[in-house]
Amino acid sequence: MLTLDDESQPPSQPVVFPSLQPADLEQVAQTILQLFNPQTSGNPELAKQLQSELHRIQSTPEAWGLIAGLASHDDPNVRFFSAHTAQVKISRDWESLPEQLHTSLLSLLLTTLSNAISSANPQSYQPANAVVVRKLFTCLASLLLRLPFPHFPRPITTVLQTISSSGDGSGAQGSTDVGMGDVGTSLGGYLVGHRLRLWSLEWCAICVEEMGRAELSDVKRNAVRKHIEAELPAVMSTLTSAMSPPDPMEGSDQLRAKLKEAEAACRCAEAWVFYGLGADELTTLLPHLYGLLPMPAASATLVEVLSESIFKYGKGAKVLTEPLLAWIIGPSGQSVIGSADGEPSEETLGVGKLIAALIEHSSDWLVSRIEHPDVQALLGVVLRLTAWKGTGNVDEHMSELTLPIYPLIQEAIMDSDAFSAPYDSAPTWGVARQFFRELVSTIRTKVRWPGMGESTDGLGGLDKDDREAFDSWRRDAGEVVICAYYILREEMLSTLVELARVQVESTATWQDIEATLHCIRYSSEAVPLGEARYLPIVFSDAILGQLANRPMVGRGEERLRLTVVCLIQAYEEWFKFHPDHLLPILSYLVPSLTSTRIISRSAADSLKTVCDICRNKLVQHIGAFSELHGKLGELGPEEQIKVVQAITSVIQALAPPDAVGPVEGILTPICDQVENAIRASQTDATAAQPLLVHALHALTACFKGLTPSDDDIFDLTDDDELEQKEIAVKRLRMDQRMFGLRLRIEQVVEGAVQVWNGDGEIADALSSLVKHSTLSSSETLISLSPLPLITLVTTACERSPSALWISLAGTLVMRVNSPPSALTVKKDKTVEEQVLYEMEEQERWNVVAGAATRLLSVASNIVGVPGGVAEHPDVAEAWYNFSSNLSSRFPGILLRLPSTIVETYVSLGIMGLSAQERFSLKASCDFLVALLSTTRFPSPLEPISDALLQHFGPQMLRAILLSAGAEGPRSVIPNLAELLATFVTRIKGEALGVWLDQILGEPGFPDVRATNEAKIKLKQTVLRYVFVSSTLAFSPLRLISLLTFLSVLIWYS
Amino acid sequence: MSKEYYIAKKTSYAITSQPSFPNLLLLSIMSALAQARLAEERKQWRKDHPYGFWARPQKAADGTLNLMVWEVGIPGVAKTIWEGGIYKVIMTFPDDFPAKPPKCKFDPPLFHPNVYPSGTICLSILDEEKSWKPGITIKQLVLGIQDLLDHANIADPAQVDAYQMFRNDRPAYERRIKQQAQERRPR
Repeated sequence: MLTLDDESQPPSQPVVFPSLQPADLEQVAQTILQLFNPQTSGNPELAKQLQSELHRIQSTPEAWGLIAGLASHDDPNVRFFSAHTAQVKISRDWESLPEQLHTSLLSLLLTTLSNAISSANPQSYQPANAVVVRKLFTCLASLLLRLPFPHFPRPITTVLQTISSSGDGSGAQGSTDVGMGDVGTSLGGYLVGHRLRLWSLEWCAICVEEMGRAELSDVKRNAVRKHIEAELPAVMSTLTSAMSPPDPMEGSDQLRAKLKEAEAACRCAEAWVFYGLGADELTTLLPHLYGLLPMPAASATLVEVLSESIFKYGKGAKVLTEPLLAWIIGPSGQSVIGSADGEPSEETLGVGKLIAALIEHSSDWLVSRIEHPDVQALLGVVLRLTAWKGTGNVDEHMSELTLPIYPLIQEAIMDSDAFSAPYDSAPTWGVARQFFRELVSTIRTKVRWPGMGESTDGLGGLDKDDREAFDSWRRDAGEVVICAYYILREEMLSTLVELARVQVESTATWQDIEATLHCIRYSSEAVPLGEARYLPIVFSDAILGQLANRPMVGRGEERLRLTVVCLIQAYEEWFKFHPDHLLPILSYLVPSLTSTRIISRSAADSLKTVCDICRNKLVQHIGAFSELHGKLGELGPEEQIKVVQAITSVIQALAPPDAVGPVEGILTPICDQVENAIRASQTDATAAQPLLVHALHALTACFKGLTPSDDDIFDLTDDDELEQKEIAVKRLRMDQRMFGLRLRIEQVVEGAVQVWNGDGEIADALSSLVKHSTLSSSETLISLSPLPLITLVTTACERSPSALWISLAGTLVMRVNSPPSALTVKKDKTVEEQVLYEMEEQERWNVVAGAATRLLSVASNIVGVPGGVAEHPDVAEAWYNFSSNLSSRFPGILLRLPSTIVETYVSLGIMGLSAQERFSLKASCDFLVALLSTTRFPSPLEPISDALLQHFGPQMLRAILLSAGAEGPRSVIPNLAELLATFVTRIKGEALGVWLDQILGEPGFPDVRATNEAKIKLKQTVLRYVFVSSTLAFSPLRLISLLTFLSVLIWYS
Repeated sequence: MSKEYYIAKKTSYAITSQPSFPNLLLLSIMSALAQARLAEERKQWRKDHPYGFWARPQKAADGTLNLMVWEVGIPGVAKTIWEGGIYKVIMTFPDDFPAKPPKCKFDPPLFHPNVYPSGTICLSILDEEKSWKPGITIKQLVLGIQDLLDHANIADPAQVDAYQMFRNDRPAYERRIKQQAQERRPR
């Protein structure tokens, strides 16, 4: 569409911008106007088409001619397109502009700018003209970064002068001509000057923002910084001259104009502060900013100075901290804060942010002068802001600004030399304590839910969003309570607990009690576990007992109960050291289990944890748990599972003979449930799914509960006691009831596996059940033998191949005969025992070998096909983990399988070395390392594995070197190095040398960058390693690290 | 109290540490760089952090700050199956941070395909060999982790159970995640 006047200018003529035909320019203008026509917005298809046409035009070399061609068009949208084209061409097509035109472009843009803002140009008063001017500023800023510095010397000043000269002489006339209202000539002149000053500020701001935004190299960035250094006085002068505080005596138009200028100057200054002003410039700027306070823009700029400038992190106390402190506590600051209520104005919020930034900046300075009245006054102001009347995050958004300040003050106190004096007597500590005392009191008031007692509008009349917002405020306030504890220590707990006691006793409103308990709840993170003075009061009849008797009516009481349950949760670990208080909390938690959903869930969680960690102390209350078991049916499904685990964990702590009855009592109905669910599944699997999942989870909960806790094992100081318990458990496992129960569990697990139809939740529930039923480090009354389960998951895997079953098989293989059976550990076996032992061994052999063979067949069809490892990373990882577990735990079984099977195992292992997915690759390395390590001398398996290595050696070595040297992820290099180190020590030196020569001799192996020298070096290193490791006790770890280093570096040396 | 704590820590380090002097110096320089960067991160977080998130360094029993370990709360994105829950993550920063990324661990561990059974998060921006860059901020990390919640990367699974369910039975996976969101709802 566009045509050049003369496409083939002779080289002797001066190079100029493409000159476009008026008709072409008009066509472009019409396209732009059509795009911006309001009717077009109703036709997105057309708009898209026009947009795309304009993009196409912009991308042509001739588009450089549009800049001048459209710059004077009457319509601002067209002029904007002209300026936009300039920016697009500079950023995307800069190289297409002949160098001779670089300075011409600068001149063109300056002229266009001058015209665009000239007060004599009526277009400059069009409202949309401002966008055009801003775009021109952006173009000039881009040129500043693009042009060689000598081509655009003093860029900021040059543009400022262009702006200034565009208003010379004709300002008043321009203003009256274009209808600036009925203003006198003098005011009109002022307003034109005002307009130019605003443009100057705009330019300075856009210029610095563009410099900061551009992705420049450090070298270029520093060069630009240096280039504009000499212009900082001009920028500072532009800023400060616009920052004179408004005089109330001036006319309202002038006053408004001055305020606008000052705001623009502050925003511009903020951008320069962020870019990085020096100490001198900042020191010049600061008094002007103070003069403008409490203007929000001035506060925002000061926040930037405090947090991002060269003065950040506490520097510049004389010019920054001291004057600001004086202003805030002085009459001006105080009048802004006023009575600290109502919705804070923008000014007040700005000052709030400023105060927060000041404390963040100067916390060390302030804390070191905490005895000074001015500092105390400032801290008082902060407390007033925190105490701002209204519901935090709902009615007011001031207090939230102050919450992050308090941890900083607390940390500064901890680090300050002024606080190295004795805690009890030093005045500094006295002031700090008083401050935090008031803070806790303020926080307690502010976390209180609105309202006075129970009301029909629920929680203080707050809707869901407001409740969530207030809850969020309360959580943030909780963090403040924690830091207050570090300062006040016991005193804080003492005050809060006493207050709670009085409130409960005097039947205060639920809001008051809840607020106090909320603070005690959050203190838990800091309160030591040994605290034995005040917490016992909380969990005694005086408080908890009284709270338990409150009638559960209304949402307020529910909220109070939830807070109490959360309070108990927060101190769960504390009860372990203070078991006397367990019964009261159980008495509180049990009724809470049938409360609303959110309370019952928390109560069940808490009950589960407390029963787990305090099981030994709770056995004396086993009767209460029996009652609780009787009420299981009244609970929700999730609560039932947690309570089952809670009860079984206490049963586990009983003397084994006493546990048999309860175990049977709790498990029998659960087995019934699983059986019922299985039966239901056979007729309608979908409908029965939730029942089956729930029943399986309940069964898993029993296994989890009956597993001895690690803590308890450590707690039992008497090893004999532990041993006696283990012996008793072993004996009682033979009890007819326990034997029958285990058999039944196996049957229900088998039943569940058989009805499984691919449902993910059932698979997950089964997986968890199988793992936990065999997990215990020492046997429990009902822990299952892994052998039947291995056969079970193998069958399931054949029926429905999945990583889940293979992964479970891998887990179960590791648990076979672990812990070892009694016959395995017995030394002098009788003839009968020997026969039994051999039968046991044979059974293990048959099961493991069977699973190894059958699962191999499944894995070969998934992992062993081309692309299988990459397509099924989950199955691959599970398979190699299974192989690894099998070869480390039962290498004899693996290697004595038929040779074709063993060879397939090794082949699959080598295939795994080509995996890109690091878990599969790591698992295949682990498998081969285990195989090579467990079958070496003095293992009787060495001859079998040697034969395998002779066959697969070159293939394995090649795969290792290829993965480590080129294709594998770098993070698995240590695993490959370990495999290489294990591998090479199994191979005779001569054979290894030949294999290495053959493999490394392949051109471009393993990577084209690998040099011959590097390959020779690698071969020498490997052979030296073989020699050294066979003759000296050379640390394998050292060699692994050496190989790691070499394999990473050698190829690219 | 805090003074004694610091002195005790410094003394024991001086006695027990094995590295030679230059290494020790290097370690302390790296650690100082990490501390400075983390102090700046903390400041930036206070200044501006995404809605609903929280992040704070841990404190020792005496109230002294440990900038190298942070507790972070990540909310599930609204209108996703993760909505309603706030998922706590422990970020442990190495001495050579930001050259190396922090280790991020859900506490308690999370049911998610890219979270290891231990809770450790498998995410490219947390992997120094993948997309970790020293310029990545804590804000970007937590947003990245939040994004991972609903955009699991099935090419890089870290736990079999969640991965299997995600891949084989999406409705069941979604039910499980919603239940988890309920359990992790702040109270």
